[in-house]
Amino acid sequence: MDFGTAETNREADLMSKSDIILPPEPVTNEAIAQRLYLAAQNGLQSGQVKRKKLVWLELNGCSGNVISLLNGFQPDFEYAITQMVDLVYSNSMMVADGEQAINRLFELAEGDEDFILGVEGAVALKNEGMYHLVGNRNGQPVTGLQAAKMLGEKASSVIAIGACAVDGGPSAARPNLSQSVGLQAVLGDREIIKLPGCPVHPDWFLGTLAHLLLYGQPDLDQQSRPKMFYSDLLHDRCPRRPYFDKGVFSETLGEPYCLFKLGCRGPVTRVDCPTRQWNGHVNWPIGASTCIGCAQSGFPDRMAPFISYNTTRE
Amino acid sequence: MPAYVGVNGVVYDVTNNAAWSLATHFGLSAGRDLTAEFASCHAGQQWILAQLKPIGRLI
Repeated sequence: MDFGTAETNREADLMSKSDIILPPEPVTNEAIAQRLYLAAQNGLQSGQVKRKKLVWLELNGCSGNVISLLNGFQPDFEYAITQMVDLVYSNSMMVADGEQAINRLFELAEGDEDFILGVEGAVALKNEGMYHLVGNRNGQPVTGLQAAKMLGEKASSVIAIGACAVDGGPSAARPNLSQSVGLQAVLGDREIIKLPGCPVHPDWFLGTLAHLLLYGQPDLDQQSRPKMFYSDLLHDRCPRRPYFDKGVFSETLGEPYCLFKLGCRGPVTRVDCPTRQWNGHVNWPIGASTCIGCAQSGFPDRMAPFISYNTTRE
Repeated sequence: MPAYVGVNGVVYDVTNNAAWSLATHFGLSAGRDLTAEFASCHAGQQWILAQLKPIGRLI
């Protein structure tokens, strides 16, 4: 008998059980995301967690959030759509196109299927939504406004993904020619989980999705953002923070000191970039330039100017 | 150049206040009387003013 192998198997089995965490329990964002991921995986395998349908609706925006999502890992995109959810509609990624695709959208809106709705992009209101079309049906244009209302009222949960869906974002920046607004403006009192960011970090979306599948709605703050991602002030966790406290400021981007005098929005932005980091958890904006407050409400207009030199000095 | 804002008749120095990067704060610029703006966003948050350095009065 090979005890070594048996022992290894037992260890592997224990490791896969997310409810067994030996002290000291790691509490980094990455460790929490990993535990959530393992718990979801176990729940799905044991049948305790049901794989739900996900509709990813792209409205008036740049598709940056779906591109950011493809950069996700632990879990990655492939795992998300094959194991966590059934991606039933995404105009960028589905095989069906044209009439076939738009019919699927109407099937979901008119049928009894249970689905989670993720919306990226703002809702363009001008000319009854004609500034943003999602397709044509029976020769008639289907507006983003129509799709947002139709699916938003039907979905079991709605997630606003990215700055545009949350409060209009860059799509609603001055002069806002398309009269773009955030999703809430067209869905009334409907509860929406809001994930601001330009784009959204894959973990913020996938973590929220995993939480929805496993435990239901995550704890939200007053702006309907999940507290697990949007609680920390960037400034408090910034590696350049000691320079701020000493009043040592960078005068150009190449310097390693606090970027406050150049226009950094870290002091007004709440999200976990400093500890989570981007691009596979390796870096984040202040490594090279200022934070532009992309995950704060009012981005981009109220976060401008993003950068300027010699504006204030004592 | 330092950054000053007026609230309720008092002028405060926000040059090195973390929330006033580049002398701007959520679309507002320093150099103005922001009494109404302060009241609309920070009603009851007198502690914010208490932390700032008063440097004069608006007459």
